[in-house]
Amino acid sequence: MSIILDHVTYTYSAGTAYEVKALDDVSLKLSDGEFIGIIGHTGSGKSTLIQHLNGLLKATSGAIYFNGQDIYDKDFDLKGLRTRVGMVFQYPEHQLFETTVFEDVKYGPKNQGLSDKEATNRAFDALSAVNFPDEYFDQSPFELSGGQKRRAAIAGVLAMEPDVLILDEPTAGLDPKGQRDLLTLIRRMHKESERTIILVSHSMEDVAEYVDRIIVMDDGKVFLDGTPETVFSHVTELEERGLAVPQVTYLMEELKGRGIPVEGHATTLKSAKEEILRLSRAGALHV
Amino acid sequence: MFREITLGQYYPADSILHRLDPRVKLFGTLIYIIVLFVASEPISFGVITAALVAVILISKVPFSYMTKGLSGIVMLLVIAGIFNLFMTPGIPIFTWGPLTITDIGLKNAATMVIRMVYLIVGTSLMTLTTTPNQLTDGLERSMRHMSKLGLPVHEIAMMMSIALRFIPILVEETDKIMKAQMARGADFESGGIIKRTKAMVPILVPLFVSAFRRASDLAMAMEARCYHGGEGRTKMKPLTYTALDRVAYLVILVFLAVIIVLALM
Ligand SMILES: Nc1ncnc2c1ncn2[C@@H]1O[C@H](COP(=O)(O)OP(=O)(O)OP(=O)(O)O)[C@@H](O)[C@H]1O
Ligand SMILES: [Mg+2]
Repeated sequence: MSIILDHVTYTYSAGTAYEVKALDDVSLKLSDGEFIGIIGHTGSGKSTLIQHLNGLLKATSGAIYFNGQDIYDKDFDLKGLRTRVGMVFQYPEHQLFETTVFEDVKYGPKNQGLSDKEATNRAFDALSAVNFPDEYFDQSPFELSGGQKRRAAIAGVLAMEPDVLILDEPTAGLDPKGQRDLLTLIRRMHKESERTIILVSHSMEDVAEYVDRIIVMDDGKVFLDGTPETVFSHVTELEERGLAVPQVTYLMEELKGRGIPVEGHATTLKSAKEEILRLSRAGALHV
Repeated sequence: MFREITLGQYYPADSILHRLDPRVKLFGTLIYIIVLFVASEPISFGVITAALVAVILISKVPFSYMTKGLSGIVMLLVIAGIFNLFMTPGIPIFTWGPLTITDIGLKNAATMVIRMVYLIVGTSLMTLTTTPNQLTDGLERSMRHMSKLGLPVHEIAMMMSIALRFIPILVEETDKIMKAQMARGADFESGGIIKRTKAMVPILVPLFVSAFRRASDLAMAMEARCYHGGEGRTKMKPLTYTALDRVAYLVILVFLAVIIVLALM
């Protein structure tokens, strides 16, 4: 499974006085089984970019290929694409509508043509996967708290068992434990089923910790694309673009600045700890 | 997909028309509408056309914006035009089978179509060059004497400006909700009328929920900033007439006079 974007440009309200060029000549290849993080300042085009991946927005110019097929082709099955590329939107309350949470989660599987029984199974699994409390299964989705709504909405997409899962700031509005649980769940889904995961996030720590590849958006363009180590080695460039690097990376830079021979670019707590232990064993921590 | 709606849309540009006081534009539009329905002679329509074209050119708004509103009433125009054309008694000028076009029919149909098209183009010209805020400010000022008769002028103006402000928000919201449901495999295009109506439920429910939520949020935000109705409320930018506005009033009155003279002749 691969998604290729070929010189994709997207302009909102093209041809009017309110024109906004949200994507500017973006070319990317997203391969099977990757865990990708997308970061970028507010309004850099992250949400616009991911809405192209399942054909919700049609590029103003450029082409997108899903498994080698042009998704803008007349005979291309867009509805099929949308059930294979699942998307959790930035604001989950936009999708809840049923009388109960459980029914709402069943909506996607039912649209896929599954029987009521299968849909029920899927819904049950998905709600358990996101640790949604059982006692609220039959509650109206509008009476939930923000974090519970988010979990219900995520379950609604998970229940469709998509091959590619896109999440737009899924941890916003969750408590710290909820954030960790959700990210752990996403990592587990990535490991176990080799699913492609695309995670949009404003937390540098989260992307450093969980993803294998980071795409940095800046004013509609891809500014950096690489592993967390390479991306987060561009400290000043990222800061100039309203971003940052993980706290531990700052710490390691600071140590380096004090003349300690730090090697590499630690981006997670774990790798920083290892590096510091290594330095300590080598007796290099005393300045 | 839904973002094409142009109702009450403002087109930002820097033109004389944009700078005019909203009261002048409201007055001008009122005169224009009256004149449009009173005029009947070709020569009057000629004057109106010349005036309309001049104002369009001054406005610096692309012409396509004014015709967008027309697409919605094309069917209405065609049907009404056909009825007028074939059903009006008078001297036949063209006969084909049972269909007869009379001289009066032709004139009626033409007049009606021109009136409707000019009405839409002219009024959208006003909304395109006036922000919703200016528009309601202008209305509130022009109608302020009515409040002595017990009409809640300020409240009406406030409701209007909120309603106008909410149109694009709701359009955007609908767009987002449709996308979220399409991402879950919703299908709004295929199937019969019942299936398609049913498919609207997943859009309408979140839309209403969010509209009510927004309304109550807005009410709370207004109260938190001490909004207490129109009594004693002052404006940050009170409307004041400039020389330009006086000239515009004069032009409107001259236009009206010309039409009256033509009608009397
Ligand atoms: N529906 C829309 N209509 C018009 N312009 C839009 C629309 N959605 C987004 N934009 C504009 O496109 C640009 C990119 O927006 P986008 O939502 O992709 O940003 P983002 O990177 O997701 O930001 P955030 O981190 O705040 O979610 C912004 O300048 C925004 O103003
Ligand atoms: Mg976004």
